Amino acid sequence: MKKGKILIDFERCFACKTCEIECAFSHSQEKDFFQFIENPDRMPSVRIKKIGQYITPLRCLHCDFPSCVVICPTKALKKDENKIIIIENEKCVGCGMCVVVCPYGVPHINRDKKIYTKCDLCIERLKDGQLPACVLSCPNKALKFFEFEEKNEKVRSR
Amino acid sequence: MENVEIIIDGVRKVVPKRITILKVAQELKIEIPTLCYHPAIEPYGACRLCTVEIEKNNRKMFVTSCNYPIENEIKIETNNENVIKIRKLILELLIAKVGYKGKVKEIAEKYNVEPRFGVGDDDCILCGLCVNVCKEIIGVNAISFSSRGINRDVSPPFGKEAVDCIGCGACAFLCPIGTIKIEDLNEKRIITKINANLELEKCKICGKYFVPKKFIEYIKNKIGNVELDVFLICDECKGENYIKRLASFSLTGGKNE
Repeated sequence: MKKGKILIDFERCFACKTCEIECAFSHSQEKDFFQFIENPDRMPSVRIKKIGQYITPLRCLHCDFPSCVVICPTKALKKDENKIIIIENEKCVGCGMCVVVCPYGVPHINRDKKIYTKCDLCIERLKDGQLPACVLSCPNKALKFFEFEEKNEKVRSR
Repeated sequence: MENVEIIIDGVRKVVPKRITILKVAQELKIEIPTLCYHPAIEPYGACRLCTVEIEKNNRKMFVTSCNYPIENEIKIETNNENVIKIRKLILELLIAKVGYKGKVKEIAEKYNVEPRFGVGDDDCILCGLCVNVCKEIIGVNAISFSSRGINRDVSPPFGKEAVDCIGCGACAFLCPIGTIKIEDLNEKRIITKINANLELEKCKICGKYFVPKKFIEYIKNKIGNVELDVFLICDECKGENYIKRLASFSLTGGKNE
Protein backbone atom coordinates (compact mmCIF):
# COMPACT_ATOMS: atom_id res chain seq x y z
CA MET A 1 0.00 0.00 0.00
CA LYS A 2 1.17 3.47 -0.86
CA LYS A 3 1.28 6.06 1.89
CA GLY A 4 1.43 9.76 1.34
CA LYS A 5 -0.39 13.01 0.71
CA ILE A 6 -1.56 14.87 -2.34
CA LEU A 7 0.36 18.07 -2.98
CA ILE A 8 -0.77 20.85 -5.25
CA ASP A 9 1.58 22.77 -7.49
CA PHE A 10 -0.16 26.09 -7.33
CA GLU A 11 1.05 27.52 -10.62
CA ARG A 12 0.42 24.53 -12.87
CA CYS A 13 -3.35 24.13 -12.57
CA PHE A 14 -5.26 25.59 -15.49
CA ALA A 15 -8.76 24.52 -14.41
CA CYS A 16 -9.41 21.82 -17.00
CA LYS A 17 -11.52 19.91 -14.43
CA THR A 18 -10.17 16.53 -15.51
CA CYS A 19 -9.53 15.66 -11.87
CA GLU A 20 -13.16 16.40 -10.98
CA ILE A 21 -14.56 14.04 -13.60
CA GLU A 22 -11.96 11.36 -12.95
CA CYS A 23 -12.59 11.57 -9.18
CA ALA A 24 -16.35 11.22 -9.51
CA PHE A 25 -16.10 8.41 -12.06
CA SER A 26 -13.57 6.36 -10.10
CA HIS A 27 -15.80 6.43 -7.02
CA SER A 28 -18.99 5.71 -8.94
CA GLN A 29 -20.76 2.35 -9.15
CA GLU A 30 -21.29 2.90 -12.88
CA LYS A 31 -18.73 1.16 -15.06
CA ASP A 32 -19.66 2.74 -18.40
CA PHE A 33 -18.22 6.25 -18.71
CA PHE A 34 -20.88 7.60 -21.07
CA GLN A 35 -23.70 6.33 -18.88
CA PHE A 36 -22.00 8.02 -15.96
CA ILE A 37 -21.73 11.40 -17.70
CA GLU A 38 -25.41 11.29 -18.67
CA ASN A 39 -26.59 10.35 -15.23
CA PRO A 40 -23.90 10.92 -12.58
CA ASP A 41 -24.42 9.00 -9.34
CA ARG A 42 -21.54 10.61 -7.56
CA MET A 43 -20.22 14.13 -7.12
CA PRO A 44 -16.48 14.89 -7.29
CA SER A 45 -14.72 15.29 -3.95
CA VAL A 46 -12.05 17.51 -5.48
CA ARG A 47 -13.31 20.81 -6.80
CA ILE A 48 -11.59 23.49 -8.87
CA LYS A 49 -11.77 26.90 -7.22
CA LYS A 50 -10.81 30.10 -8.96
CA ILE A 51 -10.15 33.29 -7.06
CA GLY A 52 -8.77 36.06 -9.23
CA GLN A 53 -5.66 34.69 -10.84
CA TYR A 54 -5.39 31.76 -8.48
CA ILE A 55 -6.77 28.40 -9.51
CA THR A 56 -6.60 25.48 -7.12
CA PRO A 57 -8.11 22.04 -6.95
CA LEU A 58 -9.55 21.99 -3.45
CA ARG A 59 -9.69 18.60 -1.73
CA CYS A 60 -9.71 17.15 1.77
CA LEU A 61 -6.50 17.92 3.64
CA HIS A 62 -6.83 14.92 5.99
CA CYS A 63 -6.11 17.13 9.00
CA ASP A 64 -4.14 15.86 11.97
CA PHE A 65 -6.89 16.96 14.35
CA PRO A 66 -10.02 16.65 12.23
CA SER A 67 -13.09 18.44 13.54
CA CYS A 68 -15.37 16.47 11.20
CA VAL A 69 -14.36 13.16 12.82
CA VAL A 70 -14.94 14.61 16.29
CA ILE A 71 -18.42 15.92 15.48
CA CYS A 72 -19.74 12.99 13.40
CA PRO A 73 -22.60 11.53 15.49
CA THR A 74 -22.59 8.09 13.83
CA LYS A 75 -18.81 7.66 13.57
CA ALA A 76 -19.19 7.29 9.81
CA LEU A 77 -16.13 9.49 9.42
CA LYS A 78 -12.98 8.15 10.99
CA LYS A 79 -9.25 8.43 10.80
CA ASP A 80 -7.64 5.15 9.87
CA GLU A 81 -4.17 3.89 10.75
CA ASN A 82 -2.64 5.57 7.69
CA LYS A 83 -3.95 8.97 8.82
CA ILE A 84 -6.54 9.02 6.05
CA ILE A 85 -9.99 10.27 6.98
CA ILE A 86 -12.34 7.70 5.49
CA ILE A 87 -16.10 7.72 5.24
CA GLU A 88 -18.36 4.71 5.64
CA ASN A 89 -21.14 5.83 3.34
CA GLU A 90 -23.66 3.33 4.73
CA LYS A 91 -23.41 4.85 8.20
CA CYS A 92 -23.85 8.46 7.09
CA VAL A 93 -27.23 9.96 8.05
CA GLY A 94 -26.70 13.21 6.18
CA CYS A 95 -26.99 15.53 9.18
CA GLY A 96 -24.43 17.91 7.71
CA MET A 97 -22.51 18.65 10.92
CA CYS A 98 -19.17 17.97 9.19
CA VAL A 99 -20.09 20.50 6.51
CA VAL A 100 -20.54 23.19 9.15
CA VAL A 101 -17.41 22.44 11.18
CA CYS A 102 -14.94 21.84 8.34
CA PRO A 103 -12.71 24.92 8.13
CA TYR A 104 -12.04 24.40 4.42
CA GLY A 105 -15.55 23.66 3.15
CA VAL A 106 -14.60 20.24 1.79
CA PRO A 107 -17.46 17.80 2.61
CA HIS A 108 -20.53 18.05 0.44
CA ILE A 109 -24.03 16.68 0.77
CA ASN A 110 -26.30 16.45 -2.22
CA ARG A 111 -29.72 16.38 -0.61
CA ASP A 112 -31.63 15.65 -3.82
CA LYS A 113 -29.62 12.61 -4.79
CA LYS A 114 -28.75 11.69 -1.20
CA ILE A 115 -25.04 11.44 -1.83
CA TYR A 116 -22.32 12.36 0.61
CA THR A 117 -18.92 13.15 -0.86
CA LYS A 118 -15.58 13.58 0.77
CA CYS A 119 -12.10 12.70 -0.48
CA ASP A 120 -10.85 9.35 0.84
CA LEU A 121 -7.50 9.67 -0.96
CA CYS A 122 -8.68 6.85 -3.25
CA ILE A 123 -7.87 4.34 -0.54
CA GLU A 124 -8.93 1.37 -2.67
CA ARG A 125 -6.49 2.42 -5.39
CA LEU A 126 -3.71 3.04 -2.89
CA LYS A 127 -4.17 -0.49 -1.56
CA ASP A 128 -3.59 -1.79 -5.10
CA GLY A 129 -0.46 0.34 -5.33
CA GLN A 130 -2.02 2.80 -7.77
CA LEU A 131 -2.00 6.57 -7.56
CA PRO A 132 -5.17 8.48 -6.61
CA ALA A 133 -7.43 9.19 -9.60
CA CYS A 134 -6.98 12.96 -9.56
CA VAL A 135 -3.20 12.72 -9.45
CA LEU A 136 -3.02 10.14 -12.21
CA SER A 137 -5.33 12.06 -14.51
CA CYS A 138 -3.93 15.57 -14.09
CA PRO A 139 -2.53 16.46 -17.53
CA ASN A 140 -0.27 19.24 -16.32
CA LYS A 141 0.93 17.47 -13.16
CA ALA A 142 -0.46 20.14 -10.87
CA LEU A 143 -1.44 17.41 -8.42
CA LYS A 144 1.36 15.27 -7.10
CA PHE A 145 1.43 12.34 -4.78
CA PHE A 146 4.09 12.75 -2.14
CA GLU A 147 4.99 9.36 -0.71
CA PHE A 148 6.11 9.27 2.88
CA GLU A 149 8.76 6.56 2.51
CA GLU A 150 10.56 8.31 -0.29
CA LYS A 151 10.79 11.51 1.67
CA ASN A 152 14.51 11.40 2.40
CA GLU A 153 15.51 10.36 -1.10
CA LYS A 154 13.47 13.13 -2.68
CA VAL A 155 14.98 15.80 -0.50
CA ARG A 156 18.48 14.58 -1.35
CA SER A 157 17.83 14.58 -5.09
CA ARG A 158 16.78 18.21 -4.94
CA MET B 1 -17.13 -14.21 22.71
CA GLU B 2 -19.03 -17.40 22.06
CA ASN B 3 -19.53 -18.64 18.55
CA VAL B 4 -22.46 -20.45 16.95
CA GLU B 5 -22.52 -22.50 13.80
CA ILE B 6 -25.34 -21.69 11.40
CA ILE B 7 -26.36 -22.72 7.92
CA ILE B 8 -27.33 -19.80 5.74
CA ASP B 9 -28.60 -20.58 2.23
CA GLY B 10 -26.83 -23.94 2.44
CA VAL B 11 -23.50 -22.44 3.50
CA ARG B 12 -22.05 -23.46 6.84
CA LYS B 13 -20.68 -20.52 8.81
CA VAL B 14 -19.44 -19.86 12.31
CA VAL B 15 -20.63 -16.53 13.63
CA PRO B 16 -20.36 -14.74 16.97
CA LYS B 17 -23.37 -15.08 19.24
CA ARG B 18 -26.07 -12.37 19.17
CA ILE B 19 -25.10 -10.99 15.77
CA THR B 20 -28.20 -10.30 13.66
CA ILE B 21 -29.04 -12.41 10.60
CA LEU B 22 -28.99 -9.34 8.36
CA LYS B 23 -25.40 -8.52 9.31
CA VAL B 24 -24.27 -12.07 8.55
CA ALA B 25 -26.07 -11.93 5.21
CA GLN B 26 -24.49 -8.62 4.32
CA GLU B 27 -21.05 -9.99 5.12
CA LEU B 28 -21.74 -12.92 2.79
CA LYS B 29 -23.08 -10.51 0.14
CA ILE B 30 -26.53 -12.09 0.26
CA GLU B 31 -29.07 -9.51 -0.78
CA ILE B 32 -31.95 -8.89 1.59
CA PRO B 33 -34.19 -5.91 0.81
CA THR B 34 -34.72 -3.40 3.60
CA LEU B 35 -36.60 -0.15 3.98
CA CYS B 36 -36.35 0.69 7.65
CA TYR B 37 -32.83 -0.53 8.37
CA HIS B 38 -29.83 1.76 8.73
CA PRO B 39 -26.46 0.58 10.12
CA ALA B 40 -26.12 3.57 12.44
CA ILE B 41 -29.59 3.21 13.94
CA GLU B 42 -30.97 0.48 16.20
CA PRO B 43 -32.93 -2.02 14.07
CA TYR B 44 -36.62 -1.27 14.33
CA GLY B 45 -38.29 -4.04 12.32
CA ALA B 46 -41.11 -1.91 10.99
CA CYS B 47 -41.14 -2.62 7.28
CA ARG B 48 -40.90 -6.45 7.57
CA LEU B 49 -39.29 -6.65 4.12
CA CYS B 50 -36.15 -8.31 5.47
CA THR B 51 -38.21 -11.37 6.47
CA VAL B 52 -36.34 -14.69 6.22
CA GLU B 53 -37.25 -18.27 7.06
CA ILE B 54 -35.39 -19.98 9.86
CA GLU B 55 -35.46 -23.57 11.08
CA LYS B 56 -34.96 -23.98 14.78
CA ASN B 57 -35.47 -27.26 16.70
CA ASN B 58 -37.03 -28.73 13.54
CA ARG B 59 -39.66 -26.00 13.43
CA LYS B 60 -39.83 -23.45 10.67
CA MET B 61 -40.76 -19.83 11.23
CA PHE B 62 -40.46 -16.42 9.68
CA VAL B 63 -38.49 -13.68 11.39
CA THR B 64 -37.29 -10.21 10.46
CA SER B 65 -33.57 -10.61 9.89
CA CYS B 66 -32.63 -7.05 10.93
CA ASN B 67 -33.51 -7.55 14.58
CA TYR B 68 -33.15 -11.31 15.08
CA PRO B 69 -30.02 -12.07 17.11
CA ILE B 70 -28.62 -15.54 16.44
CA GLU B 71 -28.65 -17.43 19.74
CA ASN B 72 -28.25 -21.09 18.79
CA GLU B 73 -27.70 -23.32 15.81
CA ILE B 74 -30.27 -22.42 13.18
CA LYS B 75 -30.81 -22.95 9.50
CA ILE B 76 -31.60 -19.81 7.52
CA GLU B 77 -33.16 -19.52 4.08
CA THR B 78 -33.05 -15.97 2.80
CA ASN B 79 -34.49 -16.33 -0.67
CA ASN B 80 -36.73 -19.38 -0.94
CA GLU B 81 -40.23 -19.50 -2.40
CA ASN B 82 -42.08 -18.80 0.86
CA VAL B 83 -39.91 -15.81 1.71
CA ILE B 84 -40.39 -14.28 -1.71
CA LYS B 85 -44.14 -14.82 -1.45
CA ILE B 86 -44.21 -12.96 1.85
CA ARG B 87 -42.05 -10.13 0.57
CA LYS B 88 -44.29 -9.74 -2.45
CA LEU B 89 -47.34 -9.48 -0.22
CA ILE B 90 -45.67 -6.86 1.95
CA LEU B 91 -44.73 -4.90 -1.15
CA GLU B 92 -48.30 -5.12 -2.45
CA LEU B 93 -49.57 -3.71 0.84
CA LEU B 94 -46.94 -0.97 0.80
CA ILE B 95 -47.96 -0.03 -2.73
CA ALA B 96 -51.60 -0.02 -1.63
CA LYS B 97 -50.58 2.56 0.97
CA VAL B 98 -48.09 4.84 -0.79
CA GLY B 99 -47.95 3.79 -4.44
CA TYR B 100 -44.76 3.61 -6.48
CA LYS B 101 -42.37 5.95 -4.73
CA GLY B 102 -38.60 5.97 -4.14
CA LYS B 103 -37.16 2.81 -2.69
CA VAL B 104 -40.54 1.02 -2.64
CA LYS B 105 -40.66 1.38 -6.41
CA GLU B 106 -37.07 0.12 -6.77
CA ILE B 107 -37.68 -3.02 -4.74
CA ALA B 108 -41.11 -3.67 -6.25
CA GLU B 109 -39.58 -3.64 -9.72
CA LYS B 110 -36.94 -6.12 -8.60
CA TYR B 111 -39.63 -8.50 -7.31
CA ASN B 112 -42.06 -8.06 -10.23
CA VAL B 113 -44.97 -7.15 -8.01
CA GLU B 114 -48.45 -6.90 -9.50
CA PRO B 115 -50.53 -4.97 -6.97
CA ARG B 116 -53.84 -6.66 -6.19
CA PHE B 117 -55.02 -4.07 -3.68
CA GLY B 118 -54.71 -0.98 -5.82
CA VAL B 119 -52.18 1.83 -5.80
CA GLY B 120 -52.45 4.26 -2.91
CA ASP B 121 -51.32 7.82 -2.53
CA ASP B 122 -50.32 8.20 1.10
CA ASP B 123 -47.02 9.89 1.94
CA CYS B 124 -45.54 7.71 4.70
CA ILE B 125 -44.72 4.02 5.10
CA LEU B 126 -44.12 4.40 8.86
CA CYS B 127 -40.61 2.96 8.65
CA GLY B 128 -39.60 5.15 11.57
CA LEU B 129 -36.18 6.13 10.20
CA CYS B 130 -36.84 9.86 10.60
CA VAL B 131 -38.17 9.47 14.13
CA ASN B 132 -35.33 7.19 15.21
CA VAL B 133 -32.52 9.23 13.70
CA CYS B 134 -33.87 12.33 15.41
CA LYS B 135 -34.09 10.51 18.73
CA GLU B 136 -30.97 8.33 18.73
CA ILE B 137 -28.40 10.08 16.60
CA ILE B 138 -29.21 13.77 16.75
CA GLY B 139 -30.84 13.55 20.18
CA VAL B 140 -33.39 16.27 19.55
CA ASN B 141 -36.73 14.40 19.53
CA ALA B 142 -38.40 16.95 17.29
CA ILE B 143 -40.84 14.48 15.74
CA SER B 144 -42.52 11.25 16.79
CA PHE B 145 -45.28 8.85 15.92
CA SER B 146 -48.77 10.01 16.72
CA SER B 147 -52.15 8.27 16.96
CA ARG B 148 -52.83 4.54 16.70
CA GLY B 149 -54.00 2.10 14.07
CA ILE B 150 -54.75 3.43 10.63
CA ASN B 151 -54.29 7.01 11.85
CA ARG B 152 -50.68 6.39 12.87
CA ASP B 153 -48.46 9.05 11.37
CA VAL B 154 -45.17 10.89 11.81
CA SER B 155 -45.84 14.33 13.13
CA PRO B 156 -44.45 17.23 15.19
CA PRO B 157 -45.83 17.74 18.72
CA PHE B 158 -49.64 18.06 18.64
CA GLY B 159 -49.51 18.20 14.85
CA LYS B 160 -48.58 21.87 14.93
CA GLU B 161 -44.98 22.94 14.38
CA ALA B 162 -41.70 21.16 15.12
CA VAL B 163 -40.37 23.70 17.59
CA ASP B 164 -37.42 21.57 18.70
CA CYS B 165 -36.23 20.85 15.14
CA ILE B 166 -32.73 22.14 14.44
CA GLY B 167 -33.06 21.70 10.69
CA CYS B 168 -30.15 19.30 10.16
CA GLY B 169 -32.03 17.41 7.46
CA ALA B 170 -31.09 13.88 8.54
CA CYS B 171 -34.74 12.83 8.37
CA ALA B 172 -35.02 14.08 4.80
CA PHE B 173 -31.74 12.35 3.89
CA LEU B 174 -32.94 8.99 5.20
CA CYS B 175 -36.61 9.03 4.11
CA PRO B 176 -36.86 6.06 1.71
CA ILE B 177 -39.74 7.47 -0.31
CA GLY B 178 -38.68 11.11 -0.33
CA THR B 179 -41.67 12.54 1.52
CA ILE B 180 -39.67 14.81 3.79
CA LYS B 181 -38.18 17.59 1.71
CA ILE B 182 -36.03 20.56 2.57
CA GLU B 183 -36.78 23.86 0.90
CA ASP B 184 -34.55 26.88 1.46
CA LEU B 185 -36.43 30.06 0.62
CA ASN B 186 -34.19 33.07 1.25
CA GLU B 187 -33.96 33.39 5.02
CA LYS B 188 -36.26 30.48 5.86
CA ARG B 189 -35.74 26.73 5.76
CA ILE B 190 -38.98 24.82 5.49
CA ILE B 191 -39.06 21.07 6.05
CA THR B 192 -42.21 19.52 4.64
CA LYS B 193 -44.17 16.77 6.41
CA ILE B 194 -42.67 17.54 9.83
CA ASN B 195 -43.73 21.18 9.52
CA ALA B 196 -40.53 22.90 10.58
CA ASN B 197 -39.85 26.53 9.88
CA LEU B 198 -36.33 27.69 10.65
CA GLU B 199 -34.41 30.91 10.33
CA LEU B 200 -31.20 30.63 8.32
CA GLU B 201 -27.88 32.22 9.15
CA LYS B 202 -26.31 34.65 6.71
CA CYS B 203 -22.78 33.97 5.48
CA LYS B 204 -20.42 36.61 6.89
CA ILE B 205 -18.61 37.01 3.58
CA CYS B 206 -20.97 36.52 0.65
CA GLY B 207 -24.27 37.14 2.41
CA LYS B 208 -25.87 33.91 1.24
CA TYR B 209 -28.27 32.20 3.63
CA PHE B 210 -26.86 28.75 4.20
CA VAL B 211 -27.51 26.96 7.51
CA PRO B 212 -30.17 27.21 10.26
CA LYS B 213 -29.30 29.34 13.30
CA LYS B 214 -30.53 26.61 15.63
CA PHE B 215 -28.20 24.08 13.99
CA ILE B 216 -25.16 26.27 14.69
CA GLU B 217 -26.33 26.67 18.30
CA TYR B 218 -26.65 22.88 18.55
CA ILE B 219 -23.10 22.29 17.25
CA LYS B 220 -21.71 24.95 19.58
CA ASN B 221 -23.34 23.20 22.53
CA LYS B 222 -22.07 19.84 21.36
CA ILE B 223 -18.42 20.87 21.31
CA GLY B 224 -18.68 22.87 24.51
CA ASN B 225 -19.77 26.43 23.74
CA VAL B 226 -16.90 27.40 21.48
CA GLU B 227 -17.46 30.43 19.29
CA LEU B 228 -15.75 29.87 15.94
CA ASP B 229 -15.74 31.92 12.78
CA VAL B 230 -16.01 28.87 10.53
CA PHE B 231 -19.59 28.26 11.67
CA LEU B 232 -20.72 31.56 10.20
CA ILE B 233 -19.10 31.18 6.77
CA CYS B 234 -20.67 29.12 3.99
CA ASP B 235 -18.63 26.27 2.53
CA GLU B 236 -17.98 28.02 -0.78
CA CYS B 237 -16.42 30.97 1.03
CA LYS B 238 -14.46 28.70 3.37
CA GLY B 239 -12.73 27.15 0.36
CA GLU B 240 -12.00 30.54 -1.13
CA ASN B 241 -10.59 31.79 2.16
CA TYR B 242 -8.25 28.84 2.32
CA ILE B 243 -7.00 29.41 -1.20
CA LYS B 244 -6.42 33.11 -0.50
CA ARG B 245 -4.31 32.12 2.49
CA LEU B 246 -2.40 29.62 0.34
CA ALA B 247 -1.85 32.30 -2.28
CA SER B 248 -0.48 34.84 0.15
CA PHE B 249 1.81 32.17 1.56
CA SER B 250 3.18 31.24 -1.84
CA LEU B 251 3.87 34.89 -2.61
CA THR B 252 5.65 35.69 0.63
CA GLY B 253 7.10 32.50 2.04
CA GLY B 254 6.92 30.24 -1.00
CA LYS B 255 9.55 29.07 -3.39
CA ASN B 256 9.72 31.86 -5.97
CA GLU B 257 9.91 35.06 -4.00
